[in-house]
Amino acid sequence: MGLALKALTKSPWVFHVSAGSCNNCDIEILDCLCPRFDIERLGAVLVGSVRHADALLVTGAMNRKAAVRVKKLYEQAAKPCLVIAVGTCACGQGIFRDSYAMTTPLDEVLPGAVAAYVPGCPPKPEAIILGVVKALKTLQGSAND
Amino acid sequence: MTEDVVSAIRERLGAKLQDVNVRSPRRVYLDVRPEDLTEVADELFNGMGARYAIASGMQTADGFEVLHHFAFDSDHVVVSVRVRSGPDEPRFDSLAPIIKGAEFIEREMRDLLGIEFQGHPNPTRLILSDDWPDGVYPLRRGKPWEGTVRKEI
Amino acid sequence: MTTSILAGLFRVLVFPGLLFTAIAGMAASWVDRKVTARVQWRVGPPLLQPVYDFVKLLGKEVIVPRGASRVAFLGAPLVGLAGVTFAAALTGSAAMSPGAGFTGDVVVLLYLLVLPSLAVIMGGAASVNPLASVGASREMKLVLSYELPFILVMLVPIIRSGGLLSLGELLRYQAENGAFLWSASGLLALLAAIPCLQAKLALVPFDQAEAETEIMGGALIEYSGAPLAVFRLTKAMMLIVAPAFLVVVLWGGFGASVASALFGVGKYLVLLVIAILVRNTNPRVRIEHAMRFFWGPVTGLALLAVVLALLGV
Repeated sequence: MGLALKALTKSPWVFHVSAGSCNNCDIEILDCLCPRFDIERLGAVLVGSVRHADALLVTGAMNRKAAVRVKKLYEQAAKPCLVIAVGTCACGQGIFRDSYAMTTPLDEVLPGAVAAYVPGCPPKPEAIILGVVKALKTLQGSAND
Repeated sequence: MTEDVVSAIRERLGAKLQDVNVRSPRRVYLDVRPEDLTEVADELFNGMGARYAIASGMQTADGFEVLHHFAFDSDHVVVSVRVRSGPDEPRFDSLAPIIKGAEFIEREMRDLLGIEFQGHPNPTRLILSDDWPDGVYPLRRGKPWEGTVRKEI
Repeated sequence: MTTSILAGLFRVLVFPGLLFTAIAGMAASWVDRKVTARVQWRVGPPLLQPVYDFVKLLGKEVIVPRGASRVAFLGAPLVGLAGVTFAAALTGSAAMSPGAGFTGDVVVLLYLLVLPSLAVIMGGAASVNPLASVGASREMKLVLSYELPFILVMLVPIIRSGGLLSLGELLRYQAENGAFLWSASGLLALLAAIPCLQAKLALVPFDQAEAETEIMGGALIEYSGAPLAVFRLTKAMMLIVAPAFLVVVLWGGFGASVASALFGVGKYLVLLVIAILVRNTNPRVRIEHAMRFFWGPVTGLALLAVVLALLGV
């Protein structure tokens, strides 16, 4: 298992989930895959199916409709799977905290699953890449045990 | 231009209009009685060929208002038709039978403000989530959802 | 007797079979990803990336959808792997020692090379998922359309060599009389074979079965873990076997001496680079357009090549 986990840190396939975001964070995530930043250098690829994913990049402030689906998506992902909260909305719902449409923040919808928080509105692609790297390092911590 | 549109509107619909307010060269507001809404909208949409842009709903101090916005693109004018109602049980005629584009926005107004649209072909929930209780309208004054809706999913 | 069984097992499992083709396939898939990245002004993954992908997938949870047939779902990737492994062993053996082939192995190879696509169809149909069914049906349509010109292309060397059906004999014929490519019929045959190659390798513009942006992984949407690793490994191995097969059948093969073997590798690389560049400069086409393309211009070209071959040109 240690070898596979080490390999996972070198080949994190990302799946992008928008839980009711305004799309700014989604655009910045796409920027990470484009020539200027290129996270394929780290082995990251955007996959189409959640079952292929090693990291869920979750954006958006968890409105009632999306939160149900985010929970289902996380259950469908093949473990081990990291969850990375991208953007202030995913980290803690930001200015939308008291809105009628919001449920609990991401780390209460998926308790214990969030490996990294990347605040920012939207966070710069460099910040998102740093978040992914830090999330992978938490895995490496367990690989070294 | 604006004057041509306004004079054409007065000519065709003069009797039906309670008030014509040319707020600025690009914005004209028509106040209309709720009974005359369908006729006025039909004349603007089919008779004069305006584009139906969107509708907006509001809760004011006196009751409820619905504005339907029609765009005369070549004249650079947006004409808004306003209907008002009292504070209890707001009900207006639906424009969906004559203007297909009004279907979804009227469903939204029904979800969020509780405004009934008579004659709507599909008056079902559109944007509130499935577990949202009936009768709680989020965009009404006073945060009516507090205490009635659970935060957790 | 036992030594020939052991030799056969070695050929299938180690060289030129599973182990060799797997490693070479991963190298080819890295070349594909790196060239794609460079063409897009990106940097691209490091050399060992396909290995990391494979090892990582082996450590992931395997999920079988509820209601899916476990046998079909988990067995489909093995069918594809078996097909490409035996195809690699046959092609490699014939290329290295032309006398070792048997009559009819061109036909057997045509069957073996269809098995990976069949595995994708089987797997997609066995996943209880509407998007997977769409992917499987698209792959079925694609196979139906490109197999026709591909078989017609295979007729050209058979006709021109006077009815030889063995890879080894075709290679010997080409060693004596020059590669089939340097004749009008051979040239047209290779031109018709290149789109078929693109479709067999499931590369854009013919990767409708696994269209990731459109149908979310298509036929492979429900796969995770080791079965997915096997599917990807099969695809990487096809990157080696399919162009090598074309080189053997149409372009004179790899030859006996070291120099001609290197030259053969160069021929293989030409085909691989053509496939990669076509992949990077084209959008994915709709399945109806792909079918019309294969049954129209490509089959026409292949038919023309067959006619020219019959005329002896």
